[in-house]
Amino acid sequence: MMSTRRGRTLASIGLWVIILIVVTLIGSTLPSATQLLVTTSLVLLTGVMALQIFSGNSGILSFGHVGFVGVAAYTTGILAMPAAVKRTSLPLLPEPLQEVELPIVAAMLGGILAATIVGVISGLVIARLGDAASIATLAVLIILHGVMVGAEPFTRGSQTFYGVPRYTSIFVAGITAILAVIVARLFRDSRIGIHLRASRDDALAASTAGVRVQYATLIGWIVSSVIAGAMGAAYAGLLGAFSPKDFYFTLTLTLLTMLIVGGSGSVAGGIVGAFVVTLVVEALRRVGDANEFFGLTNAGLAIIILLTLYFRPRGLLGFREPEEFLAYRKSPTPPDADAAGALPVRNENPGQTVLCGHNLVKNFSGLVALNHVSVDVEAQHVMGLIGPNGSGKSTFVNCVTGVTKPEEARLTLAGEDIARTPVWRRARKGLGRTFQTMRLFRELTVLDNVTVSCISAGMSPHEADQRALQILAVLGVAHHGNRLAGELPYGDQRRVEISRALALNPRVLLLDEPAAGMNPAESRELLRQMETILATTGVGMLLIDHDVALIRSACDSLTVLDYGKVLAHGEPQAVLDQPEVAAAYLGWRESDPSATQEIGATGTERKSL
Amino acid sequence: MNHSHHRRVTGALVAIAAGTLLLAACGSSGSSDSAASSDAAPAGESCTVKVGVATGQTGGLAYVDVPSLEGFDIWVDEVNAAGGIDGKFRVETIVKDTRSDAAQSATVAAELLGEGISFLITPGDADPSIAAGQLAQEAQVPAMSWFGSSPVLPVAVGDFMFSNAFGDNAQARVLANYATQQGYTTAYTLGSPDSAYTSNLPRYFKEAFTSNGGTVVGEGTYTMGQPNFNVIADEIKALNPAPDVIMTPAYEPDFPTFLKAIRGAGINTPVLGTDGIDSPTTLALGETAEGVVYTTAGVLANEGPMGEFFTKYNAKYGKDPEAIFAVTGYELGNVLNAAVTNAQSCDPVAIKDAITNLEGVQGITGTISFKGGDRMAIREIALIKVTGGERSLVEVVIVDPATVPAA
Repeated sequence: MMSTRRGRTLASIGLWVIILIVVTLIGSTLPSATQLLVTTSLVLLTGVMALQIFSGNSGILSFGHVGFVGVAAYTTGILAMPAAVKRTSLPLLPEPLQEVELPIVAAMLGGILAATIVGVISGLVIARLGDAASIATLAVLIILHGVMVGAEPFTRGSQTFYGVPRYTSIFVAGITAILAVIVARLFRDSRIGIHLRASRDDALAASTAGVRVQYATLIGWIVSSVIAGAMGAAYAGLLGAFSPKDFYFTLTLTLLTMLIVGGSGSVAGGIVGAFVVTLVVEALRRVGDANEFFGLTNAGLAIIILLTLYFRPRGLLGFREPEEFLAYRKSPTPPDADAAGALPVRNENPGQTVLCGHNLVKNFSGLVALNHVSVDVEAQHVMGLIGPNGSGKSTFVNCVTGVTKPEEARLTLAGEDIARTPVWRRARKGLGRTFQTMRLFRELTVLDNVTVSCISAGMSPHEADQRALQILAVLGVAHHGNRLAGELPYGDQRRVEISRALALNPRVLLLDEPAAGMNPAESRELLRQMETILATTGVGMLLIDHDVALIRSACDSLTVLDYGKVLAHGEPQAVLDQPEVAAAYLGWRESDPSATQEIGATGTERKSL
Repeated sequence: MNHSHHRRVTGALVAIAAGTLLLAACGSSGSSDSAASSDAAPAGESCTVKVGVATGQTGGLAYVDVPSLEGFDIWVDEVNAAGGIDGKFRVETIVKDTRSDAAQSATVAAELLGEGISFLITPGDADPSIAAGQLAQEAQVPAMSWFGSSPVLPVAVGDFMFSNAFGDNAQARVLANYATQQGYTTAYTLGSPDSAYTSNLPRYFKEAFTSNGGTVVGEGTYTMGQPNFNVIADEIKALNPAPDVIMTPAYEPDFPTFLKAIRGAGINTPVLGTDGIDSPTTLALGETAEGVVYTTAGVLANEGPMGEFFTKYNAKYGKDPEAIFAVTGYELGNVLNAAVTNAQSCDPVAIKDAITNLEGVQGITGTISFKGGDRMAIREIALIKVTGGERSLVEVVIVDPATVPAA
């Protein structure tokens, strides 16, 4: 059951639902004050889940969600309030709303809908902002607060909004919290959820793995606004009376504290955080009240946050769910013996040009990084790209994959113009790449790193996991599947990165120094694996490396770049034999011709420069 | 930051204009005796009045809730030393901190109600008081806010909810009547939507002033903490007809900024303020603030009946009280004293009925009544005029509840 993603998700949901049902049932037998405490913490838990869905998966700390809570609370309040009460408490309310008096559930759904609408509108902005998004969420909070204060006919402005029936019993709160936990846990391992977590670790690498970062952020934001709305709908019936200041910084900090203490990266962290903070606050409050020594709770809360940030900066439970942690040491079940045979064929005709990069020009504030560079990659062939440091090799790959925008370029992939195609779409159309300095999703498991790309290639999470495992097996790292990518040895990390690129089912693989940091044995092993991949999938490869031996044995043709220009192009040995190539490559322009000899003659000896 | 009124930084207040606040005939000591008439309650059995205090001992409301409780505790010590209320009803308090949070106020109130209290004290602000009061209402236990002045407070909860403060609407009535007496017929009001206090007072004033036959010729709004009021000054200058008087509930830092802006623009129209500006800052404005008239509950001064309170406070806490809420907190004790004396019972419903009928309870700043009102305390409101950098008393008024603008 725990061996598949679906199984783990269901087991986890089942466990938490049972725990929350037990908490609710036990709570309902307690004296009213304690019961109210449990009810309150269940409502807060709903809000923590909303934050977890967005902030936990995207890594963007949100200050705005309490605004959605407020919008939903007011809307639910207006819809649920008896018409007779409205005449006194909301005399300025427009006529049609005056008479509305919905059943509680309908009113709550109305509140959630209102929060969702606001979530969609604000999300369209937030999702575009990238690094600035966190500050923008603060703006969302301030704007929504302003709206609540300003919409006097609906909210009574800054005055207390009162007259809401107090319908939030412990059962209403319990059901709301359970639904919130289910949504949060399902979202985490949904396609979008996995993509969003990849973008949390490295947005750029995620987009080269086919992740639509903005879209995933938008969906995460909207889903979390729905859950924040659910908290608001329950909170309105819990308080019965509130004003805009109840949906401002204090509540925001309460929810963020719970999430940060428990661990924002996992649903379990959010739940544990909500209960731990509630219990600590409650215990300290009781001690304080009994001794008339007040302020203990605030001091205690501050200490918990400090201790958490010091000892467990990612929260009590960190970034992983407990069930993922249990699977940590276990290797995933290995796929069928012939994993490579399972790889899909992408290019049918060997030798056919699949990637044309013509006349690429790129300047970095005056420095010409690429000066009319043209390189083509053919199916089932390996094109080597070498040149001294700073000659423009990585810039070429960045321009081709869309990470860097060239001044001029004609780019086609399988005959289709991709010059204006966004990074993620180029990846999905068949450009897989690795980075010179590795960019794995370090907080995701090895398997999830590759699953991200499989999902980009159109698979469901379940299929994606199976395909990912096959690809990892081809590269010989499947046994690491459940470990965190950031913990692997260097060489294995390189293989995971190649697997991730390969999982896009690409037409062309652009490998930027895949053998850097590997010893000769590892290099040879990698070479062998690349040959297998080439033969089974028909992928075209662009290979950048300084390892002359690797280049010589791997490449079908070779292009040499120097100062952003193509210096030589052709059959590898012939190119390497050209004196000016050796001169440029080793930086010995005017001197010792024997250097040429050395390059040309080096056999299997590794020459990493 | 939008709890009602009293923003006063009541630091070491200069003992000022002493006689000013010698409120009318209040010669008697702070400790209570009741002038109320009640339905001849039979002398009850001795019992203990359990008082639950669910207030913000920490957080944003501590500025009112902490001194209020200090004052109330002095009364409790005093009354128990005398054998209890009316010599037989001992008072026991259970204090719990709400951290100035509405949801926490409800939880704490539920706990206190679970302990069988006869009387609940709630924070000096409407939101948490309503949240706690709703539970008291359900449990049929009377609740009273330390000094929440929004007149909506009791309306929102029901017949078991009271406030020890005069309503903002009563304050506005006093200002409107003063304006009319001075012969002003046109007024400009400046409010802010940012808090209930700053948004409601201009509205109440307009209603009261209009009912006196006056006209509000302009209504401006500002953002709390706004750095510059020059545009508003220009707006006032451009008004035609020019207003006879300007009314605003703005307090620090807005009030000084506003006042400097209009005086700097050459507008010498008289200004009416509310109890939020009863602070040393206003007096320190010097010539700019000269002639400003405002309403307030009372001014801390080591003189007269309040001087006696200073002595008691000093004996218990070893310092002078720093906020008028210490005084009003003590006065809440006077109210409870009168109610239990009249009820001759610790039964919550009997106490609630007795509070509803209280009339003329002697406090420190004056008398306090609930009979005939809307469960907001009917108590003296002082009108103060800033003269030569000091407070001078214009008059002390008790507003007829019938003339107060509706909540």
